Amino acid sequence: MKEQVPTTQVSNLAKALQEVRVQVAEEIKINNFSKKATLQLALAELIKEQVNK
Amino acid sequence: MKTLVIQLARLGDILQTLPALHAYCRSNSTEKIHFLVRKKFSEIAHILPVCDSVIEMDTKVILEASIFAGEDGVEDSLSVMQKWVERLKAEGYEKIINLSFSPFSSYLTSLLADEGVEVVGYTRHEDGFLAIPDDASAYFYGQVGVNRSNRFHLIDLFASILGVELEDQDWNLSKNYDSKKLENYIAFHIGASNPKKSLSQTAIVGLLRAIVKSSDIGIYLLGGTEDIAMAESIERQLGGSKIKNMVGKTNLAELIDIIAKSKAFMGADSGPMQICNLTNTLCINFSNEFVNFWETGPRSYKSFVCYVKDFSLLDMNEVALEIKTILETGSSEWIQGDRLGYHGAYPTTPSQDFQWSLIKAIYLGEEFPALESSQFARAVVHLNDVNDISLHHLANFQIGNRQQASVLETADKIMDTLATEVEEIMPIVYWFRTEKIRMGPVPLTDLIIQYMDLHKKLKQILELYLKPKWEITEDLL
Repeated sequence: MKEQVPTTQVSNLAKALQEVRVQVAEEIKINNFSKKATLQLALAELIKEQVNK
Repeated sequence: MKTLVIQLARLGDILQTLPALHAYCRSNSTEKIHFLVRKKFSEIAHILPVCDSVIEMDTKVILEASIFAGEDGVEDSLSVMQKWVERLKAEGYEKIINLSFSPFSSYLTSLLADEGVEVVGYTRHEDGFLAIPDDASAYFYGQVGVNRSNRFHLIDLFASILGVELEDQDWNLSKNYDSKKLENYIAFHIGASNPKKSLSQTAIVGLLRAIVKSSDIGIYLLGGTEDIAMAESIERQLGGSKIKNMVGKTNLAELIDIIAKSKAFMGADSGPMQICNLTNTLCINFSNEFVNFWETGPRSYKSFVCYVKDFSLLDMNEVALEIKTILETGSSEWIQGDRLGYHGAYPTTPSQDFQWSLIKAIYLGEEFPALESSQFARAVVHLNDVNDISLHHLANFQIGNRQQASVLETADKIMDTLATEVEEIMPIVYWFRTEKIRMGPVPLTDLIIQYMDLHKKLKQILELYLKPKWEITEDLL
């Protein structure tokens, strides 16, 4: 019973995922592995789950 | 004491969590226990409540900005998630038990677990690497999944992670049904989350035709909206008044009601099949190589798995006759034991049996199985050689020596390769790999000591198979 995610939404999520990855790389570079980085990685994983449906 | 139990997987996993969660709540009656699930799958937790409160994670709300604005929505999504996490943290949980095994759930657990909070299940170390604090979750990481040799049921694994023993009262959560007043029909689920797991339309028609012909029992077809076309086709082909097409017409509560009142449930490994465990409905589960029935098969009383590699090989008349016998007499030679029997091609090979014995030896302290395979013997010798190289370099490790680090890395890769080439060695390599991952961020000198201890443990296991008693001769090698 898989839910289909519309193509535009997938495309937007893919762009969002790319952006979070850039942000988390910057955050880790500046502050090592912080709570903010954990939050960003959590969001990245949540997006990945939707993109990979 | 306030505890948060996290289960962010799909409906089938929530259904398999409920007996263990019920046992946990029963065993810890003074704790306030909250159950976190995805909003999309939360209905079942409300229909069959087992703890103090159900908390829903609304993925759509968190991702809404990103869904509609792409990269420009990221900040908003982060802000929504941050606020949601803060609200959860404000509950003041002293214990968090993560029963999901996803990367997302591990980051979430890490965000929720401030200092002093006890954590069970996947989380993250302070350097962001995966942390697996408990042995049961580590077992899951190393040994569970399709193409692995685990034979512990997921429900038992969840119970083990929660640290509880299951009792009969933890199974039948839908207590409003009288097993003596079942109605004369079979609940037949025609679909599955993955079409490879389910019977083909032709096989279903053949089986139902044989059942209808040999018995006066009715058939309720069940499934989601995506199964409507197939259900209509099945209905057309079978005709008659014994078939009732309920596909796409039931909500979850109605589905539970239909399954609970049925004499038996039939279908592939799926969410609806897991309902049988909670309604104590006899389940006939069709299973094949695309699903590990040991982990997710039926557990209700007198249920059994009908296993074949290819469903088209099933003799439907034979299956129908046996089902008739089961429904009329309550017994069958297909049912072995109270909770799980098997019919069909016996679904294990000597290699798989050997791997299962290895798993029990490593994790339960049972006796290691006797050496039977020359492939395994060869793999043990190679693994031991590689392990010796690692031990040598760890014993003489010089900080900053990149060549040594590279050798150790290569040794680990060779072990992984061995596991992919010789399946009998997989349980040992996966155990080793998991235990290595479990080591947290510590000073390098401490890490070297921990690594050495682990490599020595590995050597102890390998030496069991290198001793002369196994008679590893040149011929065998």
